[in-house]
This record gives sequence, structure tokens and C-alpha cells, in this order.
Amino acid sequence: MRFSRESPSRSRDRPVVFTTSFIDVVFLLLIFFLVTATFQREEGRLSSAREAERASGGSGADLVPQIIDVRADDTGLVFQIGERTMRDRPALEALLRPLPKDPGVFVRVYGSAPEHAVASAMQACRDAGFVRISYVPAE
Amino acid sequence: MVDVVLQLIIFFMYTSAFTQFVRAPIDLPEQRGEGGEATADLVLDIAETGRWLVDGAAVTPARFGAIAQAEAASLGIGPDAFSVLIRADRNLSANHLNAAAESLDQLGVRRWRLGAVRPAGGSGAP
Repeated sequence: MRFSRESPSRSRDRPVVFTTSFIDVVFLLLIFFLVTATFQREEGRLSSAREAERASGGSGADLVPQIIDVRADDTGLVFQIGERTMRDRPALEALLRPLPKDPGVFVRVYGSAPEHAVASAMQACRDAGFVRISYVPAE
Repeated sequence: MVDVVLQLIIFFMYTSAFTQFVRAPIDLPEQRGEGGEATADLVLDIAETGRWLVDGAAVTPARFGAIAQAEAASLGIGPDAFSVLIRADRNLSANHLNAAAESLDQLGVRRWRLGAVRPAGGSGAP
């Protein structure tokens, strides 16, 4: 009685691939991707058009520029628009909301400020509805 | 079972952002940002010490300018259309950020983006 159609000599000639360890490799790959996907935090971005207002003129340039001064002092972060001083982002955003959006806003950054204060100011501008946000290094 | 595992692997490979691996580990500020992926034609990392990094290698401002010009030339675009993403450490002094902005200004790059990491919950740092 023969159960195989192939002759014993032909089956002996066929190359044998051992797939026993294949599942180990597959599981290692799965664990790798699971771990890297879990701990990788998504990055966002905050735009700044440094030279947009300088290049373009017109009606926007005729308006009084809206400038946010960003700096730090002994007590913490300072966001200042004219005479108004804010210490946190929600207060800054609340002040920015009623301002006209067409002329855009300038974020003037002093060297004493940390980078996260700049990001907070730009995010407040974005959340308040400003599209044109210009970064201005303070002299 | 193996089929399911393979499907999962394909899913994670497809969804993983491999470009993230070449970026230096920078402690970015937590902000929502404006949506979209944090991609650009060139990524400049600035460590807390103020050191500039491109693809993980330290560069001087002059070297960065040369890299940016070469990259823009290879893409066939001018500085107006060239986009730069600045990934600066959240505790970095703004002096370094101002220097980077001045450098981009000299290169003619009008628009650049500041990198942030989206918070796990809430609206970000104050």
C-alpha cells in the first residue's frame, strides 16, 4: 500500500525548510512593534510666518500691530500685550480672542523666556483664531 | 493564529513612523499644535544645551545653512517654499531659538514650524 504519489527518492531530494523558529521571530517582531507603537508620542507643529508681514503690505500693514511680548522673570512666565500682563496661556488666549484676526499677531520673544513659553504663546494665538503668527526675536 | 499575528505585524509596520527613529530625543513642549504630521523638508533639533542637530549629528549654524541650501536645491524649490521644522527642547533658552530664527531669515526661509508633542490629555502646558 502506497499513501504518497511521490516516490521515496523524489521526496528525499526536495529541500526541507524548518519553520519551527519562524513563529519565534514573528512574535519578536510583534512585540517590537507593539512596544515602539506604545511609547512613541505623536508630534504636532506650530506654524510661524516670520517674514509674512514684512513681505506683504496693504491694509494689514496700516493697522496697529498686535504684539505679544514673551519673557520670563523671577516669578515665572510673562505674556504681555500693551499694558496687560498675563501669567498663563488661558488668560492670554482669553485676551486674544476678541482681537481682530486679519492683521495677524507678532510674538516677540526675549532671550530670558524658555522655549515652552514660546510654544504656549503660539498655541494661544492659534486657539484664539489667528492664522498669521509672526515670530520676532527681541533685540 | 500565525495569520493574525502576521496581520498585526503588517499593521504596526504600516502605521509606524520610521522617520521618528532618526530624530534626536528632544523633550518637546506639550501643545496640541495645529494638526497634521510634524513633517518638513528639513528638521533642526536644538538640544537643551543649545547644540544644533540635523539627523542626529551636531552642526554649526553655517553648516546648517549649507545643508538647507543643498536640500532645497535637491528638491528644486526656493527658500520661500522650503519648510523647516524646529524641534527645540522645552527648557531651551529663547536666545538659541532667536538665533535659529535669524539664521532661517538669512537663508530666506519665511515659514518654519515649531515642534511640539501632543499631550496625552488636556490642552497642554500653561
